[in-house]
Amino acid sequence: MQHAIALPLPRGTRLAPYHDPVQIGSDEALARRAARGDERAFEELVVRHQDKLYTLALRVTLSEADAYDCVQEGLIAAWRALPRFRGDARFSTWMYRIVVRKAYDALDRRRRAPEPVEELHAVAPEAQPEARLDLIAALEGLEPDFRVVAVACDILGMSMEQAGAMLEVPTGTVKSRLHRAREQLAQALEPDRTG
Amino acid sequence: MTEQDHEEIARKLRETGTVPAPEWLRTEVMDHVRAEPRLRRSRRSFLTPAIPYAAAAAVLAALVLALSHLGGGSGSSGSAAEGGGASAADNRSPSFPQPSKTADGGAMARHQAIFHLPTASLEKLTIAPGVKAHSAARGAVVLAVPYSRFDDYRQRLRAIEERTGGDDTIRVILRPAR
Repeated sequence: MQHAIALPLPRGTRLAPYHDPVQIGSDEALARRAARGDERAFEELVVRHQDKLYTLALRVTLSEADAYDCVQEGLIAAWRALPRFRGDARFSTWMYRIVVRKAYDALDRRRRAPEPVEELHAVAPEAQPEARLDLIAALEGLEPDFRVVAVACDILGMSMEQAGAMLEVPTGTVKSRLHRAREQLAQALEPDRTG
Repeated sequence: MTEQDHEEIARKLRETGTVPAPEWLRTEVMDHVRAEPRLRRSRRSFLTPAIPYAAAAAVLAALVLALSHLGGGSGSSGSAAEGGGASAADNRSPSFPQPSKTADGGAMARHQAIFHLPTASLEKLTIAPGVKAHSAARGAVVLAVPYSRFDDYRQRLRAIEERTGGDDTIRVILRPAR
């Protein structure tokens, strides 16, 4: 959507500060250019995906600092690995996989060596009604394996196949985890509904 | 829980779950990226194209080494290699006995033999069944004959060489075919 915007830019629009043909094209085309060392093509990919990548990392790690590190390290790792990207999967799936691995690594590090971290508590965009904050809080209460599936499919809008490719699990596993995640979210919200 | 409930949860998550990345994330990432491209390009332009050639050269070297150990530097290797073998034979007669000069038989004597023959006489030999002729380095011709007929051909070529001689000759390397 934002890639088709031409001059002039409305204020507050999150768009790269250039408006040349590099913004037109599929992720894969941009990835091929980036693999040849085209930094601007890679920057366009960053602009396209940074919000979703950050959301994914944030909802998995539940820490803004960890999420920031995951996305930053993941994008840099993707830049370095781009020449080896063969296009077996969609570029976005490949990049999300890198970031989600880093998010899991961050969770493992925290489990092994618990240290005080600023925990995320129901961060929702802008001011949200109470019920929606409750939904995010309920999401944070899920096990990571269920949470990441709910984030991938329901928040980021991935298909189950894409989520399976990202998480390197079968589609059936994604389906069952998503089903259970939604059930647990519904149960967590139930007292509020009845009360 | 109904399908409608599932859809409701999914809708709410979709509406509330996205969090924008910090403004400075892209800047920091691109600063890192821009600090690296020179290294990337140099790696790709010099090392990457050379890798297949280096691998092929290594395989070829290993193959040549293995063949030289197995066949003592002879056999059905290419004509250039055979020419090289002939050259070596000229210079190192103890390793590559030349029956035209040393008439003794035996396995080593069957390795190869070198003659200087008129071209016309060679044509008659190459048409014989099982005999293959091909050119080698320095104008030489390699005659590959069945192993069982090597001694026979060696005697015939030697006889031709002794009978004809002269300046209008070409070098013929006689070898058993594999």
